[in-house]
Amino acid sequence: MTHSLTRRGLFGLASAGAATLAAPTLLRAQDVTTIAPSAANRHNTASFRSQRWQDHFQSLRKGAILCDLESRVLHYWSEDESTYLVYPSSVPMSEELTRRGYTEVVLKRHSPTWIPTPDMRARDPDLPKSIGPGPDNPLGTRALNLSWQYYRIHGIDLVEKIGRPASNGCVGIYNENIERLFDLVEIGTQVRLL
Amino acid sequence: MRAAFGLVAVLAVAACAQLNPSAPPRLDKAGASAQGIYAVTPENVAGVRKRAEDTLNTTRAAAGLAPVALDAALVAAADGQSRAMAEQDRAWNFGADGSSPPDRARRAGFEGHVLGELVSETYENEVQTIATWMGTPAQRAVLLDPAARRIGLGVYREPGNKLWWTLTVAN
Repeated sequence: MTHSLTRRGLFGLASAGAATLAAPTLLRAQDVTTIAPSAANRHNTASFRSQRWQDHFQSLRKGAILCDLESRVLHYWSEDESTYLVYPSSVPMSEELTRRGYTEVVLKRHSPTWIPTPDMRARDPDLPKSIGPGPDNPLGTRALNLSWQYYRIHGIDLVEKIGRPASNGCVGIYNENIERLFDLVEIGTQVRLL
Repeated sequence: MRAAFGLVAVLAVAACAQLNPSAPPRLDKAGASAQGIYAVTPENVAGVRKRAEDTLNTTRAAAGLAPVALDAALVAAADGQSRAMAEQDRAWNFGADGSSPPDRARRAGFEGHVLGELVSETYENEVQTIATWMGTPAQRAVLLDPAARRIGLGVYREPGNKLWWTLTVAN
Protein backbone atom coordinates (compact mmCIF):
# COMPACT_ATOMS: atom_id res chain seq x y z
CA MET A 1 0.00 0.00 0.00
CA THR A 2 1.85 3.04 -1.09
CA HIS A 3 1.03 6.18 0.40
CA SER A 4 2.47 9.36 -0.93
CA LEU A 5 2.28 11.59 2.04
CA THR A 6 4.09 14.84 1.72
CA ARG A 7 6.02 15.04 4.91
CA ARG A 8 5.90 18.77 5.26
CA GLY A 9 2.27 18.74 4.23
CA LEU A 10 1.16 16.79 7.21
CA PHE A 11 2.18 18.93 10.09
CA GLY A 12 -0.86 19.12 12.21
CA LEU A 13 -2.44 15.93 11.00
CA ALA A 14 -1.27 13.52 13.62
CA SER A 15 -3.42 10.78 14.97
CA ALA A 16 -5.86 10.29 17.76
CA GLY A 17 -5.31 11.03 21.36
CA ALA A 18 -2.91 13.92 21.21
CA ALA A 19 -3.66 17.19 22.84
CA THR A 20 -6.15 19.19 20.88
CA LEU A 21 -5.42 22.70 19.87
CA ALA A 22 -7.23 25.91 20.31
CA ALA A 23 -7.12 27.51 16.91
CA PRO A 24 -9.06 25.55 14.34
CA THR A 25 -7.61 25.90 10.91
CA LEU A 26 -9.74 25.07 7.93
CA LEU A 27 -7.86 24.51 4.77
CA ARG A 28 -8.62 23.41 1.30
CA ALA A 29 -8.64 19.69 1.08
CA GLN A 30 -5.64 19.76 -1.22
CA ASP A 31 -3.71 22.03 1.08
CA VAL A 32 -1.67 21.45 4.15
CA THR A 33 -3.09 21.88 7.59
CA THR A 34 -0.72 23.77 9.77
CA ILE A 35 -1.14 24.41 13.42
CA ALA A 36 1.26 26.33 15.57
CA PRO A 37 3.45 24.21 17.82
CA SER A 38 2.26 24.02 21.35
CA ALA A 39 3.96 23.21 24.60
CA ALA A 40 0.86 21.26 25.52
CA ASN A 41 1.51 18.74 22.79
CA ARG A 42 3.96 16.18 24.04
CA HIS A 43 2.77 13.08 22.27
CA ASN A 44 0.75 11.79 19.36
CA THR A 45 -0.90 8.51 20.21
CA ALA A 46 -3.16 6.00 18.52
CA SER A 47 -4.70 2.69 19.42
CA PHE A 48 -5.94 -0.45 17.76
CA ARG A 49 -8.31 -3.00 19.24
CA SER A 50 -8.91 -6.39 17.78
CA GLN A 51 -12.53 -7.29 17.19
CA ARG A 52 -14.55 -10.51 17.17
CA TRP A 53 -17.62 -10.56 14.97
CA GLN A 54 -19.52 -12.47 17.68
CA ASP A 55 -19.41 -9.38 19.88
CA HIS A 56 -21.29 -7.36 17.27
CA PHE A 57 -23.38 -9.59 15.02
CA GLN A 58 -25.78 -12.48 15.53
CA SER A 59 -24.47 -14.24 12.45
CA LEU A 60 -22.30 -13.62 9.40
CA ARG A 61 -25.18 -13.94 6.98
CA LYS A 62 -24.16 -12.02 3.84
CA GLY A 63 -20.98 -11.03 5.63
CA ALA A 64 -20.41 -8.23 8.12
CA ILE A 65 -18.55 -4.94 8.22
CA LEU A 66 -17.58 -3.35 11.52
CA CYS A 67 -16.35 0.24 11.39
CA ASP A 68 -14.50 0.93 14.63
CA LEU A 69 -14.52 4.71 14.64
CA GLU A 70 -12.30 4.86 17.72
CA SER A 71 -9.51 2.76 16.21
CA ARG A 72 -10.26 4.18 12.75
CA VAL A 73 -10.34 0.68 11.37
CA LEU A 74 -12.78 -1.23 9.17
CA HIS A 75 -13.16 -4.96 9.75
CA TYR A 76 -14.86 -7.32 7.31
CA TRP A 77 -15.77 -10.94 7.77
CA SER A 78 -17.15 -13.00 4.88
CA GLU A 79 -20.17 -15.22 5.50
CA ASP A 80 -18.06 -18.39 5.65
CA GLU A 81 -15.35 -16.61 7.66
CA SER A 82 -12.75 -17.57 5.08
CA THR A 83 -11.96 -13.90 4.51
CA TYR A 84 -11.19 -11.41 7.25
CA LEU A 85 -9.96 -7.96 6.30
CA VAL A 86 -8.63 -5.16 8.51
CA TYR A 87 -8.24 -1.80 6.83
CA PRO A 88 -7.42 1.66 8.17
CA SER A 89 -10.19 4.18 7.49
CA SER A 90 -11.10 7.81 7.65
CA VAL A 91 -13.74 8.68 10.22
CA PRO A 92 -16.18 11.56 10.70
CA MET A 93 -14.65 14.93 11.52
CA SER A 94 -16.78 15.57 14.57
CA GLU A 95 -19.11 13.88 16.98
CA GLU A 96 -21.95 15.87 15.47
CA LEU A 97 -21.30 14.24 12.10
CA THR A 98 -20.95 10.79 13.62
CA ARG A 99 -23.72 8.24 13.48
CA ARG A 100 -23.37 4.90 15.21
CA GLY A 101 -25.45 1.76 15.08
CA TYR A 102 -26.53 -0.99 12.72
CA THR A 103 -27.21 -0.53 9.04
CA GLU A 104 -26.56 -2.50 5.87
CA VAL A 105 -25.33 -2.17 2.34
CA VAL A 106 -28.22 -1.19 0.08
CA LEU A 107 -26.42 -0.23 -3.12
CA LYS A 108 -23.01 -0.92 -4.67
CA ARG A 109 -21.70 1.84 -6.92
CA HIS A 110 -18.81 1.36 -9.30
CA SER A 111 -17.06 4.63 -10.25
CA PRO A 112 -19.59 6.71 -8.33
CA THR A 113 -20.43 10.32 -8.93
CA TRP A 114 -20.19 12.46 -5.82
CA ILE A 115 -22.97 14.93 -5.09
CA PRO A 116 -22.81 17.05 -1.94
CA THR A 117 -25.67 16.53 0.49
CA PRO A 118 -27.99 19.44 1.34
CA ASP A 119 -26.20 19.80 4.70
CA MET A 120 -22.81 20.02 3.06
CA ARG A 121 -24.11 22.60 0.64
CA ALA A 122 -25.60 24.60 3.48
CA ARG A 123 -22.22 24.61 5.21
CA ASP A 124 -20.38 25.51 2.04
CA PRO A 125 -22.43 27.01 -0.78
CA ASP A 126 -19.38 27.07 -3.05
CA LEU A 127 -19.29 23.32 -3.43
CA PRO A 128 -19.43 21.98 -6.95
CA LYS A 129 -22.76 20.47 -8.00
CA SER A 130 -21.13 17.13 -8.50
CA ILE A 131 -17.80 15.44 -9.18
CA GLY A 132 -17.69 12.58 -11.64
CA PRO A 133 -15.36 9.59 -11.52
CA GLY A 134 -11.68 10.50 -11.32
CA PRO A 135 -8.88 11.30 -8.89
CA ASP A 136 -10.70 14.27 -7.37
CA ASN A 137 -13.81 12.32 -6.50
CA PRO A 138 -14.18 12.18 -2.70
CA LEU A 139 -15.84 8.76 -2.98
CA GLY A 140 -12.86 7.28 -4.77
CA THR A 141 -13.40 4.39 -7.13
CA ARG A 142 -16.26 2.58 -5.37
CA ALA A 143 -19.03 3.43 -2.96
CA LEU A 144 -21.27 1.28 -0.81
CA ASN A 145 -24.47 3.09 0.08
CA LEU A 146 -25.82 2.26 3.52
CA SER A 147 -29.47 2.17 4.52
CA TRP A 148 -28.98 5.47 6.29
CA GLN A 149 -29.46 8.26 3.77
CA TYR A 150 -26.16 9.84 2.64
CA TYR A 151 -23.96 7.47 4.63
CA ARG A 152 -21.47 5.45 2.65
CA ILE A 153 -18.38 3.33 2.86
CA HIS A 154 -16.23 4.42 -0.01
CA GLY A 155 -12.78 4.93 -1.50
CA ILE A 156 -10.79 8.09 -1.18
CA ASP A 157 -9.43 11.01 -3.16
CA LEU A 158 -6.67 11.99 -0.71
CA VAL A 159 -4.74 9.24 1.03
CA GLU A 160 -3.99 11.65 3.88
CA LYS A 161 -7.57 11.19 5.06
CA ILE A 162 -7.03 7.55 5.93
CA GLY A 163 -6.66 7.06 9.66
CA ARG A 164 -7.84 10.59 10.33
CA PRO A 165 -11.06 12.43 11.12
CA ALA A 166 -11.76 13.67 7.63
CA SER A 167 -15.33 12.86 6.61
CA ASN A 168 -18.82 14.26 6.97
CA GLY A 169 -20.04 10.98 8.38
CA CYS A 170 -18.84 8.44 5.88
CA VAL A 171 -16.05 5.91 6.25
CA GLY A 172 -13.37 6.05 3.58
CA ILE A 173 -10.70 3.45 2.88
CA TYR A 174 -7.90 3.25 0.30
CA ASN A 175 -9.19 2.72 -3.22
CA GLU A 176 -7.38 -0.60 -3.57
CA ASN A 177 -9.12 -1.73 -0.39
CA ILE A 178 -12.62 -0.56 -1.33
CA GLU A 179 -12.16 -2.31 -4.68
CA ARG A 180 -11.47 -5.60 -2.91
CA LEU A 181 -14.27 -5.06 -0.39
CA PHE A 182 -16.68 -4.08 -3.14
CA ASP A 183 -16.24 -7.43 -4.82
CA LEU A 184 -16.85 -9.29 -1.56
CA VAL A 185 -19.93 -7.55 -0.17
CA GLU A 186 -23.47 -7.92 -1.39
CA ILE A 187 -26.70 -6.05 -0.96
CA GLY A 188 -27.69 -6.78 2.60
CA THR A 189 -24.18 -7.18 4.01
CA GLN A 190 -24.48 -6.19 7.65
CA VAL A 191 -22.75 -3.03 8.85
CA ARG A 192 -22.13 -1.68 12.29
CA LEU A 193 -20.59 1.71 13.02
CA LEU A 194 -19.07 1.47 16.47
CA MET B 1 5.95 24.84 5.18
CA ARG B 2 3.63 26.08 2.55
CA ALA B 3 0.90 27.49 4.73
CA ALA B 4 1.56 29.95 7.47
CA PHE B 5 0.28 29.32 10.94
CA GLY B 6 -3.33 30.24 11.18
CA LEU B 7 -3.78 30.56 7.48
CA VAL B 8 -7.35 29.86 6.62
CA ALA B 9 -8.22 28.89 3.10
CA VAL B 10 -11.76 27.70 3.10
CA LEU B 11 -12.58 25.95 -0.08
CA ALA B 12 -13.14 22.48 1.10
CA VAL B 13 -14.23 20.03 -1.51
CA ALA B 14 -16.69 18.75 1.03
CA ALA B 15 -18.20 15.47 1.99
CA CYS B 16 -15.60 13.21 3.10
CA ALA B 17 -13.21 15.69 1.57
CA GLN B 18 -12.16 17.98 4.36
CA LEU B 19 -9.25 17.40 6.58
CA ASN B 20 -9.98 17.78 10.21
CA PRO B 21 -9.71 21.42 11.22
CA SER B 22 -8.99 20.60 14.83
CA ALA B 23 -6.48 17.84 14.23
CA PRO B 24 -3.72 17.74 16.79
CA PRO B 25 -0.36 19.23 15.94
CA ARG B 26 2.83 17.39 15.28
CA LEU B 27 5.36 17.27 18.02
CA ASP B 28 7.74 20.09 18.44
CA LYS B 29 10.97 19.87 20.27
CA ALA B 30 10.32 23.00 22.25
CA GLY B 31 7.26 21.49 23.80
CA ALA B 32 9.05 18.34 24.73
CA SER B 33 12.32 19.79 25.89
CA ALA B 34 10.74 20.80 29.16
CA GLN B 35 10.91 17.12 30.04
CA GLY B 36 14.50 16.65 29.09
CA ILE B 37 15.86 14.27 26.51
CA TYR B 38 15.33 10.60 27.20
CA ALA B 39 17.60 8.44 25.13
CA VAL B 40 16.89 4.80 24.46
CA THR B 41 20.05 3.02 23.35
CA PRO B 42 20.91 -0.55 22.36
CA GLU B 43 22.60 -0.80 25.76
CA ASN B 44 19.64 0.21 27.88
CA VAL B 45 16.70 -0.98 25.79
CA ALA B 46 16.34 -4.30 27.62
CA GLY B 47 16.01 -2.40 30.89
CA VAL B 48 13.53 -0.05 29.25
CA ARG B 49 11.35 -2.95 28.16
CA LYS B 50 11.55 -4.54 31.60
CA ARG B 51 10.57 -1.28 33.28
CA ALA B 52 7.58 -0.98 30.95
CA GLU B 53 6.54 -4.53 31.80
CA ASP B 54 6.85 -3.81 35.53
CA THR B 55 4.95 -0.53 35.22
CA LEU B 56 2.15 -2.18 33.31
CA ASN B 57 1.96 -5.04 35.79
CA THR B 58 1.81 -2.69 38.76
CA THR B 59 -1.03 -0.89 37.00
CA ARG B 60 -2.81 -4.13 36.18
CA ALA B 61 -2.38 -5.50 39.69
CA ALA B 62 -4.00 -2.36 41.07
CA ALA B 63 -6.99 -3.18 38.87
CA GLY B 64 -7.02 -6.79 40.03
CA LEU B 65 -5.73 -8.14 36.73
CA ALA B 66 -3.28 -10.90 35.90
CA PRO B 67 0.26 -9.89 34.93
CA VAL B 68 1.69 -9.83 31.43
CA ALA B 69 5.11 -10.93 30.26
CA LEU B 70 7.33 -9.74 27.43
CA ASP B 71 7.25 -12.07 24.44
CA ALA B 72 10.22 -12.11 22.06
CA ALA B 73 8.14 -12.42 18.88
CA LEU B 74 5.84 -9.59 19.95
CA VAL B 75 8.84 -7.44 20.84
CA ALA B 76 10.24 -8.00 17.37
CA ALA B 77 6.89 -7.13 15.76
CA ALA B 78 6.55 -4.01 17.93
CA ASP B 79 10.09 -2.86 17.15
CA GLY B 80 9.25 -3.25 13.47
CA GLN B 81 6.18 -1.09 13.82
CA SER B 82 8.10 1.59 15.71
CA ARG B 83 10.56 1.79 12.85
CA ALA B 84 7.74 1.71 10.31
CA MET B 85 6.03 4.64 12.02
CA ALA B 86 9.24 6.67 11.94
CA GLU B 87 9.60 5.90 8.24
CA GLN B 88 6.01 6.91 7.59
CA ASP B 89 6.38 9.85 9.97
CA ARG B 90 3.08 8.93 11.50
CA ALA B 91 1.92 7.51 14.80
CA TRP B 92 -0.59 4.85 13.85
CA ASN B 93 -1.13 1.12 13.87
CA PHE B 94 -0.56 0.29 10.22
CA GLY B 95 2.62 -0.51 8.36
CA ALA B 96 3.59 1.17 5.11
CA ASP B 97 2.48 -2.06 3.44
CA GLY B 98 -0.96 -1.82 5.06
CA SER B 99 -0.20 -4.46 7.68
CA SER B 100 -2.29 -4.51 10.86
CA PRO B 101 -1.02 -5.46 14.34
CA PRO B 102 -2.28 -9.07 14.04
CA ASP B 103 -0.61 -9.36 10.61
CA ARG B 104 2.75 -8.30 12.01
CA ALA B 105 2.53 -10.52 15.08
CA ARG B 106 1.79 -13.52 12.87
CA ARG B 107 4.69 -12.67 10.57
CA ALA B 108 7.02 -12.45 13.56
CA GLY B 109 6.03 -15.99 14.51
CA PHE B 110 3.63 -15.17 17.34
CA GLU B 111 0.91 -17.78 17.63
CA GLY B 112 -1.41 -16.16 20.14
CA HIS B 113 -4.17 -13.65 19.58
CA VAL B 114 -3.39 -9.94 19.45
CA LEU B 115 -5.89 -7.99 21.55
CA GLY B 116 -4.73 -4.49 20.79
CA GLU B 117 -1.85 -2.16 20.14
CA LEU B 118 -0.93 1.30 21.39
CA VAL B 119 1.53 3.68 19.81
CA SER B 120 3.02 7.05 20.70
CA GLU B 121 5.28 9.54 18.98
CA THR B 122 6.94 11.46 21.77
CA TYR B 123 9.98 12.40 23.81
CA GLU B 124 8.38 10.82 26.86
CA ASN B 125 9.95 7.75 28.44
CA GLU B 126 8.21 4.38 28.71
CA VAL B 127 6.70 5.06 32.12
CA GLN B 128 5.32 8.44 31.07
CA THR B 129 4.04 6.90 27.87
CA ILE B 130 2.09 4.22 29.72
CA ALA B 131 0.65 6.98 31.90
CA THR B 132 -0.31 8.88 28.75
CA TRP B 133 -2.11 5.84 27.35
CA MET B 134 -3.87 5.35 30.67
CA GLY B 135 -5.32 8.83 30.26
CA THR B 136 -7.45 7.89 27.26
CA PRO B 137 -10.32 5.45 27.92
CA ALA B 138 -9.96 3.49 24.67
CA GLN B 139 -6.22 3.13 25.20
CA ARG B 140 -6.58 2.29 28.88
CA ALA B 141 -8.92 -0.52 27.87
CA VAL B 142 -6.09 -2.10 25.88
CA LEU B 143 -3.66 -1.85 28.81
CA LEU B 144 -6.25 -3.26 31.16
CA ASP B 145 -7.60 -5.99 28.91
CA PRO B 146 -8.38 -8.83 31.34
CA ALA B 147 -7.35 -11.43 28.75
CA ALA B 148 -3.87 -9.97 28.19
CA ARG B 149 -0.94 -12.23 29.12
CA ARG B 150 1.85 -11.32 26.73
CA ILE B 151 3.17 -8.02 25.43
CA GLY B 152 5.71 -6.65 23.04
CA LEU B 153 7.23 -3.25 23.69
CA GLY B 154 8.94 -1.71 20.69
CA VAL B 155 10.80 1.54 20.43
CA TYR B 156 12.63 3.40 17.71
CA ARG B 157 14.78 6.41 18.45
CA GLU B 158 15.27 9.05 15.79
CA PRO B 159 18.61 10.86 15.57
CA GLY B 160 16.95 13.83 17.29
CA ASN B 161 15.93 11.55 20.18
CA LYS B 162 12.27 11.50 19.32
CA LEU B 163 10.84 8.13 20.31
CA TRP B 164 8.28 5.96 18.56
CA TRP B 165 6.72 3.55 21.05
CA THR B 166 4.65 0.50 20.20
CA LEU B 167 2.99 -1.69 22.79
CA THR B 168 1.34 -4.81 21.42
CA VAL B 169 -0.96 -6.61 23.85
CA ALA B 170 -1.95 -10.24 23.34
CA ASN B 171 -3.10 -13.33 25.14
